[in-house]
Amino acid sequence: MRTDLPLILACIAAVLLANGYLTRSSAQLRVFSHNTKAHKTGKYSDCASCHTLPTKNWTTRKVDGGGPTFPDVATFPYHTSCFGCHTQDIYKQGGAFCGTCHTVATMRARAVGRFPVRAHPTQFTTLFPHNVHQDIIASNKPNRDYAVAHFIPASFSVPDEKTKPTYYNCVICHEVASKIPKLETRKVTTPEDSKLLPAAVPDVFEKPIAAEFFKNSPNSHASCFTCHYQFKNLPGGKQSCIGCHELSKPFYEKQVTRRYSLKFNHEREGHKSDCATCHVRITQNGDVRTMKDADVPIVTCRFCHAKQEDAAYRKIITTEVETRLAAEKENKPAFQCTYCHTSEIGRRKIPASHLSN
Amino acid sequence: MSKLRFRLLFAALGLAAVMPAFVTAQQTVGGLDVNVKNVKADGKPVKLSRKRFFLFKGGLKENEELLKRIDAAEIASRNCYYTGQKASPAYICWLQAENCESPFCRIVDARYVDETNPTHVPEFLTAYKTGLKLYNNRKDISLEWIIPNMTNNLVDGYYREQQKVLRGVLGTTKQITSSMIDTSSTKTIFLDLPFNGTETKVKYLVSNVLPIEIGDKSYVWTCEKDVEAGKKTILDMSKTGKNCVTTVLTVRNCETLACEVK
Repeated sequence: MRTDLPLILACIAAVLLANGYLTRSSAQLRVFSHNTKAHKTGKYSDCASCHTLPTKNWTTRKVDGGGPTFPDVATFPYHTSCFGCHTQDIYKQGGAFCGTCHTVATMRARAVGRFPVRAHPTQFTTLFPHNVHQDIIASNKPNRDYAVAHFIPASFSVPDEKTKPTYYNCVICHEVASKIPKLETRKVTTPEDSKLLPAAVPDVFEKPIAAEFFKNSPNSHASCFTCHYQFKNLPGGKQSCIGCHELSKPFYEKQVTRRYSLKFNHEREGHKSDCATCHVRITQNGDVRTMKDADVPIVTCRFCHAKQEDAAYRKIITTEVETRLAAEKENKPAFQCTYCHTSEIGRRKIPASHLSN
Repeated sequence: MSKLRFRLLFAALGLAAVMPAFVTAQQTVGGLDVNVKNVKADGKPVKLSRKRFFLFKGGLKENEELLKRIDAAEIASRNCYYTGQKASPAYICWLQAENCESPFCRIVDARYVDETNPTHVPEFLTAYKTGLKLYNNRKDISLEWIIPNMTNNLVDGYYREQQKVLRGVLGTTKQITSSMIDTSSTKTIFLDLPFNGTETKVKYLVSNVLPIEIGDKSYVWTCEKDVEAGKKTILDMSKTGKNCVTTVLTVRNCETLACEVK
């Protein structure tokens, strides 16, 4: 070991020397960060200083899911955004700097990578106040019980079946999924020691999980620009990208659907009513990032599945809770609530919310 | 660090770790189910679908100032607003046909931007033509993205006017939360209402605050209710009596042209 020590020290010294000799700009080492002082102050505090809306290639870019193209920020900023500060960097290391946007890091680079770069962590969270949007999108059913007295005479055109109006509501943004998303059982808020839980019983599905069980969320500007293209209809001070995009610590966005009830089918008859009938918390929420508990509280399930006597499934909540409590009282193996839940959730202790009326 | 200090630090850290769980376990919540199915205006049943209701701490007595402001509230009718903005009769008819308050309400279909169609709406047509210039003559986008190419006052102007009235009526009274009635005009639910310490019952006030235009009048329904800890309480807004107040206001009306009959 003692004889090797000088050799090790010599290697370290050689590396450090090489590092110092080969001058490099820090710009060539990192993925572009929106969060550096240089990139978010002065003229660069305005996103429009670099990002054009729409970019020239919007008519030809490939849209995720194969949908039609639409005016969008469809590619990286143009050279003029970068060259003002990074003129020196582009001539160094054979154009390594160019690899920030181009597929090949060379001064002769032509092709650019797909924008945004999916392999890079997201640097922005999305702001979307559901409560404000619900207010504005509120659709009223025709209220023909009351004549509109100030029209003289008042009469309305009655649309026929073929021209039935389509109302703006949640489904404008949240469509039925076209394929089964990545799924995970949502973590419970009061975790229990898994060693004390009974082993999960095999899950039985009345209907195999299918894409129609789920609604998707927007992952592009397509639905947003229907109302907000060029920052229209945004409150004062929010009429730029920051109206919707907030700088955050970089994170990888997981496209995973997490549910307490993976068995719930949105397309089942009886489940196709107004979204806000069940998704109660979201209508009271201005920032989904702050929502801590399930958007659908058990109380909304009780509307149809607690005490109705006309079918077993219509009182299933009561039935399963009573069966579980009875098993616990008699010290029998715990009954697992699996009509709505998979056994991962169903084997857990009944939460207080399920026990109150 | 001495052994004693180390032990104290360890104990403090341990306490900090369990404290949140201890606090959470103690906190109780209640729920309030606001039922509007049987609400009436002028003796007739009304649909309050997608109308927002607000929740306040305290009852009618504690919120006297709020009630005074509700009594004094003035709103212009939807038709009056748009008439004042020089909207075309066709646009007002389009809104009126489905009782919409803004173009965000429903999708504009192709017949409303077809100049040869007698029901076309000039504002939509102008926006559509602007879109054709901006979007490389793409008819689909120009039709779908009508709203950004319309003037603001015809898009969210009425909403902003309503919000101004709402802010004036709310004044310094702080709402706890608000929630929207479902589309079937049945109910809305207020969840997670907190109870402090040994509270078992808390009085709340529920009101739509912003007058709802029905016919040539506007209405505000306000009720108080005691909510019990750990339970779901039901409030029927159609009840009259000492716990509920219905405020009826006259809405400023405007003369407009008749809409076409089909």
